[in-house]
Amino acid sequence: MRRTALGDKSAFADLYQATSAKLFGIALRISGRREIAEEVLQEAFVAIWGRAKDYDPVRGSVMTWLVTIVRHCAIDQLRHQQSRPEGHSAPEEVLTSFIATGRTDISAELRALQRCLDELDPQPRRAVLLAYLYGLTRDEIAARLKVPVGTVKSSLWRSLERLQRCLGS
Amino acid sequence: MRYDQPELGPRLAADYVLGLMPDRARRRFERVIGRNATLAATVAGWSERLGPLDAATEDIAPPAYVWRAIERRIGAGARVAATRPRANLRYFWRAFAMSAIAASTAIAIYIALNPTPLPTTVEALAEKIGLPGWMEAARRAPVDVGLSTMRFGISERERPRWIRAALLLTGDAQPLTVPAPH
Repeated sequence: MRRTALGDKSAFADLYQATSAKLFGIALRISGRREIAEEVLQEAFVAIWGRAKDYDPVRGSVMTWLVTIVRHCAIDQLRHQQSRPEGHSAPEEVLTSFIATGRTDISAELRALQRCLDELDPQPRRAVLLAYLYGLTRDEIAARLKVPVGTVKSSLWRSLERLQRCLGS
Repeated sequence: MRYDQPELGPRLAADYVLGLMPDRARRRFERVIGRNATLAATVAGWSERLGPLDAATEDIAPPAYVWRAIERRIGAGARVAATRPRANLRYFWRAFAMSAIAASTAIAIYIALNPTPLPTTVEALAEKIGLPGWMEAARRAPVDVGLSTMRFGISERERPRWIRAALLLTGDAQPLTVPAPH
């Protein structure tokens, strides 16, 4: 990362090689369409190249920083489109699939997070997942859950507070 | 907007991490967290809590032309290959998939196997497993490792392990001034 910040293109190529499959998976999860996810990944890595010197290790891992950039690029793309992706499955199914794939590298953090998400009521849990997994706005979440926007606002915050307490940090 | 209001800061941080901010508000907020360490730590906390959802998302290899397009746009003078997987970089991504537990265990095991670790090697390892700078910070101010784990977003549960690793690293067996995990 330091070398990328100094303009080292082979370091940047290594960074891409090491992280692009994960980041493309995330871009695809949010945008729901391959061609858009490809565009998102391109925009994100051009931004990463331009902003590499802004990366501050004190504020978190490189991967977290990269994921943040990709998520925001994907969300920006979504907001600029009129049509919403169709293919999003129910967010709870996505969550279950993470756990159920029989992978041994499922982190203790993911298990803890799922346990705490399970303690939320179904609707607020779904609101949190729709926002995080798919980048939906409050208005879109309200429409999808058929509740007023104000309800989404307050229930999202209450759910997050409960999550925070449950995760014990 | 007053970002330091006790209630507002955490809410905005959560909105930011959930992806609920309109883009202009988000850019403004990013400038604020650049100079507000408390808010930055709150953001890091939410990223840590929800990040496992990204870590668990399936890897999908992007088509090769995406990299070529990026290369063109950054004006690559000499072509650089990003097609050959490099074994040592697997750690890089794995860092993210692995939990803080695995990460701290890796450091602890590494230290255990190498009783007098070369500082640069440990540092490189910390960077590889996704916490660049942490070891350096811990070494620079060993009495402050408790705080530095917080600054690096290491969860409270994981803090004692990291503190032990740092104490091993610095050779300071008496953690007299290390704040106890709450």
